Amino acid sequence: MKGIIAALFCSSVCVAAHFIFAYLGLVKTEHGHPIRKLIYHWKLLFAVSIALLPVFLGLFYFMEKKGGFFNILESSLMCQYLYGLFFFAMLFFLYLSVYYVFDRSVSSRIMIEIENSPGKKLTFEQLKAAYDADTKYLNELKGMMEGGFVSKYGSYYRNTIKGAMVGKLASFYKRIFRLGKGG
Amino acid sequence: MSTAAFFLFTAVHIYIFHVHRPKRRFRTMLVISFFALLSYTLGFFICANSGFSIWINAITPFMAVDFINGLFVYGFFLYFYAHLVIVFDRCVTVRMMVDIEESRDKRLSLDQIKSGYDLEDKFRYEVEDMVFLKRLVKEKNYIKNAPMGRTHAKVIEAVRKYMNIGGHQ
Repeated sequence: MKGIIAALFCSSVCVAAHFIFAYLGLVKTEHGHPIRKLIYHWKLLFAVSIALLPVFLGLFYFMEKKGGFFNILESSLMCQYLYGLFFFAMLFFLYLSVYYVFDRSVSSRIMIEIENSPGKKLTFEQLKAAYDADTKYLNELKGMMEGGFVSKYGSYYRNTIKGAMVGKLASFYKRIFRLGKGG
Repeated sequence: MSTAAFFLFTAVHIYIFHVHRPKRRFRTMLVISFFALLSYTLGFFICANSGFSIWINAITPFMAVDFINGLFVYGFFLYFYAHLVIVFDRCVTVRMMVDIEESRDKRLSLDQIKSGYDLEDKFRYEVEDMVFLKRLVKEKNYIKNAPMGRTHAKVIEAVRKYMNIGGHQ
């Protein structure tokens, strides 16, 4: 439990530091390849997290020496049970992020289309033709409707409250992180 | 116990997706995870009230386990946050919700969504990214898989076929 408390503290500081650096414009945004802006964000996050490792170690040993409240917390059955739930949620999220790559990734689909083509090579136009854009739009919208993020009124799509919250949050972060329109 | 519940979830998920092809995939995964959590709860309290947990506690080096757990949670939160940045930047559905939210009447038709968000640009970015990441190579007018891209494509396609997923393209 002490390690988890130290981790919660350090990761909150790390996320806050990254957010402030991005807000202050300390993240480069103009790059040749679109992926570079993401790589720059990851590098910054990685650097901050490594810099915070001594804080993590210090906190952990402080709590280990201090004992008292932390030992009571650690021996509580309910705390152990809740940590188990949290651990399951972490593993579930990690699995979902991998599952998403297998199920939805556009880049994976592009590589599969190329691999399955007769000469194992395609032009950009052939790639576009193989990948039906209309189906992609409609399937994404269908998935969003099933998830309760958008609803259809006649021929128009509107955000539900949940969808509007995600839209606003994403719009806010895109601005702070200078990600551009993306998509 | 929660790791065991997670493996139970994974096994049932793979089995159901391979054999039954559920239509609402995400919902099915949530239902399976709910039952996995029920089994975790049951297992946890059975272990806590039996001699098993005393035996486990006796052989566990608590400080080392606590420290490794902490490092794992730290790594997980950073991964989660980094993943969130990718989702905000790249996710098609998020982009559509942003476009709808920022439209004048907060509603868009399919044609308006298509004109505001061109998938051709999306493709171009994805291809450029994969060339940068050495998954694809450009050869005159053609795009080919690099060795890493070929392996990636084969693995993804095999899993997609086995689990009957990937139909959202």
